[in-house]
Amino acid sequence: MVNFEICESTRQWCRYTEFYVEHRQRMIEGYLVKDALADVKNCMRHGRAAILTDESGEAIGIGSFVLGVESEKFADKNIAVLGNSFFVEKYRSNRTFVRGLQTLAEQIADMNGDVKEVRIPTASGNPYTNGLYRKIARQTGTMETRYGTFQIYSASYDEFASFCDRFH
Amino acid sequence: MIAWSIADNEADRELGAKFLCRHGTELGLLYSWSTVMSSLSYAMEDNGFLIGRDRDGRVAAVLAHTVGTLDDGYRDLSKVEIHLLYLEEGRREGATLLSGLRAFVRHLLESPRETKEVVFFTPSNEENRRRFGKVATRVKTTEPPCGTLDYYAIPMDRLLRFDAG
Repeated sequence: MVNFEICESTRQWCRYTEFYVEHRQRMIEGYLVKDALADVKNCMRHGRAAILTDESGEAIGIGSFVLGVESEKFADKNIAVLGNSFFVEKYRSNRTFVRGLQTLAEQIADMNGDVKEVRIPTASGNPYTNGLYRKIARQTGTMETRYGTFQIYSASYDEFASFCDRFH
Repeated sequence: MIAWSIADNEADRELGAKFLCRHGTELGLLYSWSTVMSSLSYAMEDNGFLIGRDRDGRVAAVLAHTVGTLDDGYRDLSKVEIHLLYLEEGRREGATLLSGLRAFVRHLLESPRETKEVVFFTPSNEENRRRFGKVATRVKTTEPPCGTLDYYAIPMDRLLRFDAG
C-alpha cells in the first residue's frame, strides 16, 4: 500500500528534497543539484508537492505542481504546471501513477478552484513519461532548455481531472 | 578532524545537499526551507558551497556563501554573504569551526574577484551576540517576517588573521 503525504512541515520538505536530489538524473539526464533545489523553492512558494511512501515508510516517489509558469514569474495562477515526478521502478507498472495524478488533481483544485489548464513538460528523450502523458494530454509545443528539448503536454483541468476519475 | 573542500562537482554537491536534508530541522535558522533552497542554489551557482568531511569521508559540515549580498540587491560584488554554516552535533568545537573559516578564507583568496567584506545574518539573541561579537561587527538588527535577525560584517583583513595558522 502506497501512502501519499502532502509536504507541509520542514521534515517532509527535507525528505522530498533528499529524494528529488537522489533521483534527479533519472528524471532528466544531467540535471544539476542547484536546479533541483531551485525547483523545490518554486514548488514551496507557488505550489504543492507530495511524497509517496511504502508500508515501511520508505520514500518511493514524488510528485508536484506549481501554479503559474516560471518564465512568466508564476503570474497566471489559472495554469497548473506539473513538476518532475518519479517513482522507483517497482511501483511503475501498478496504479501508483494514476493515484499520484489523482492526488495532484485534488490538490490543484484545493489550491485554486479556478485553474483552467494543466501543463506537463517532460524531456523529449524520456520514453516512459512521454508515453504516459500522451494518454492524458495533447502535445502542444516544445521548449528548448539547457537539458535539451522538452515536450509540453496540455489538458484542460476538467479533462485532466476526469482522466484521473476514471480510475476511482 | 574535518577536511574542508569546495563542492565544485555534482557528486559533492549532492552529498552536501543530502546531508543538509537529513539535518534540515536542526539548522537553527528562522527562515523557511524554501529560503535555504534558494540560498544553496545560488551558492552552488557562485561555486560557494563548501563541505567538510570526517575521517571516514562522510559529510559532517557545510558552509554556503554567495558573491554579493541581498542587502544591496547584489550590486557590490566585493562583499560576500555567508548564508549557512552547519556543523554536525559533536563537531562544533572551535577547531572544526576554525578549519572551516580557514578553508573559506583561502577559497576567497584564490578567487579572481577581490573580497573586501564578509557579511552574515544570525537570529538575534544573546548567545549569538556573545559568539559572533568577538569576530564580527554587528551592523544592524532587522525584523523580516521570519523574526529578528542581527546583521554582522567582517572586513577581509580581519578574516585573514584566521588564515595565519
